[in-house]
Amino acid sequence: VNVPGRLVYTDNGRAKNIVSRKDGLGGKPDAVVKVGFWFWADWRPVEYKSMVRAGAPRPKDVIQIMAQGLLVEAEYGRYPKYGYLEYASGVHVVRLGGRSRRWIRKFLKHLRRGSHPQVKRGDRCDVCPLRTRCPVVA
Amino acid sequence: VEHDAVAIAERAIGVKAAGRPRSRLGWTSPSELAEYAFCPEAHYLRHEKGIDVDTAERRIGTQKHASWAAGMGASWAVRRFFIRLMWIFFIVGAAILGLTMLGGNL
Repeated sequence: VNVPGRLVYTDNGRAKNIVSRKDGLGGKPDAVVKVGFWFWADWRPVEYKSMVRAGAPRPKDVIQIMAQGLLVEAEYGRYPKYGYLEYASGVHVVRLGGRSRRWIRKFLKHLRRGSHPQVKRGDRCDVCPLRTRCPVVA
Repeated sequence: VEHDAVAIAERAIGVKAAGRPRSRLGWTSPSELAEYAFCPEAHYLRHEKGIDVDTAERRIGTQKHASWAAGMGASWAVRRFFIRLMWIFFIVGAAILGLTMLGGNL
């Protein structure tokens, strides 16, 4: 792990599935590192991506790490202040915290209700491999 | 490099969905949630219809999330129903077996 902190969880195949019943979420973060101790302890999720990403991290990956924060909260009792996105080109530190926690919870509620805001369409549909089967694009 | 998660997510998410998405988001994982947030239609095709993103072909049972139910095009509600049915059979079966054994001993 190329991030600071002590490795407390890693998805090595035998790792347990972390579940947040409250949010209806379950999964295995790639890794969780613990930074600080006692009252100052912060458990931070780490997500590995094989792609090269020079500028800002992909929004999709950011949403993923925000949701992983909810799993970390369910397991360790505290929503992380930071998360790490490790691309082949380097590590991006993502600031999470209380604002991020409220945002992702609200977003999740919107998604489940079906009234969610959607990502701007842009060019992504042009390169989507599913475009031939997609009724939205066709 | 430090980035603000909420700022990035808010920049990317902006437009309201045109209509109700075809697939429902039930119990999910963070990666599936992110995928669904960005394109519910792609999520529907992948998870409900079992269409592979790489080849855009229907592949049953070979995908990570594709199950027999996904291959049949069943929704999460149907899958949940069968899972619950399986549990009911298991519990009722165990109860019958237990009572039979108990009855034999009495």
